[in-house]
Amino acid sequence: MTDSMEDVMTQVEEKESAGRRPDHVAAVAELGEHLQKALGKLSPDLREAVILRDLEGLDYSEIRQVLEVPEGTVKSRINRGRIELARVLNEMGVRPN
Amino acid sequence: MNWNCEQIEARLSDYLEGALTPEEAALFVNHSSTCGQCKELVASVRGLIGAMHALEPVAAPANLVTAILNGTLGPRPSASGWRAWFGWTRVIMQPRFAYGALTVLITLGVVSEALGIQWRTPTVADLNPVNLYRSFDRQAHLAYAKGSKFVGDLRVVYEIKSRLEPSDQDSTPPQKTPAAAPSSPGQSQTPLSSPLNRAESVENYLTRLACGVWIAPVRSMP
Repeated sequence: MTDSMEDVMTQVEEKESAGRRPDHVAAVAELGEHLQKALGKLSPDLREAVILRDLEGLDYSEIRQVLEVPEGTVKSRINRGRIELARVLNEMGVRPN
Repeated sequence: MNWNCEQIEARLSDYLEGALTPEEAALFVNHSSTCGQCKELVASVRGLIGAMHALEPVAAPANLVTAILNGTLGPRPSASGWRAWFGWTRVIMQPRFAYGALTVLITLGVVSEALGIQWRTPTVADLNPVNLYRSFDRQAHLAYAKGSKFVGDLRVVYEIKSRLEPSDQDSTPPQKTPAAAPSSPGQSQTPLSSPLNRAESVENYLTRLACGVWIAPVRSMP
């Protein structure tokens, strides 16, 4: 079964405009505020590891050079930081999807 | 062998980033799919990573540098009294400002010299645009004449030098065999290599230069 061209184009337009919808933009902004508050509750070591990995997009070797710690420590801090951050957000009643 | 909740927590990021081996991934899924607490944890961390990746980079606040300096070096004492009024003078007391001012002064001096402005005895007529234009025109022509004379003199000197040392540009290299050396006092030499003839040529050229009757086709001369 193949969809008609109109149906396909409608799906594409909906998919492209989903990230620019006002409610989505507002939800992302609200999540950013919650995320900043939650990051402030982490320890500095875990916070900087998570920020460098998930917000700045650095890979493990770059984070190792920035933090000047072994790569195993970097991975451990990122993993613990993510889990701790998820727990803090859960306590705040925020469930990122 | 099954994994427990502590192993799930320890390898959670590896699982979400696909860094586990197939066997480890199977053990991970086997536990996390049956343990409600771990299932919830995996879902929340997966959603958190996706949400953070979807966030746009946050711009640094305007007072970030000041806040860092205050947090590390301590708050700086704020100026008060006359220091607050004359605080802007610190900007012009820096070396780069002095360099810039010196450069501007030198540029103004060069331009005014080219325009013929006499700063020691300034007159209103010096600032007349017509006088400025005439002075600049005169200076430009003088500079052009000096340059032309220098280039002409340089060409004359080069011509004299090339005529006095023709053997350096000849295609036949000088013979250094002992047989070519002057063995008899009566043997004649080439005229241009003789010091006497060379001095005569120099005198001839200088005489022509002094008389101003320099002939352009120098290469035809002996």
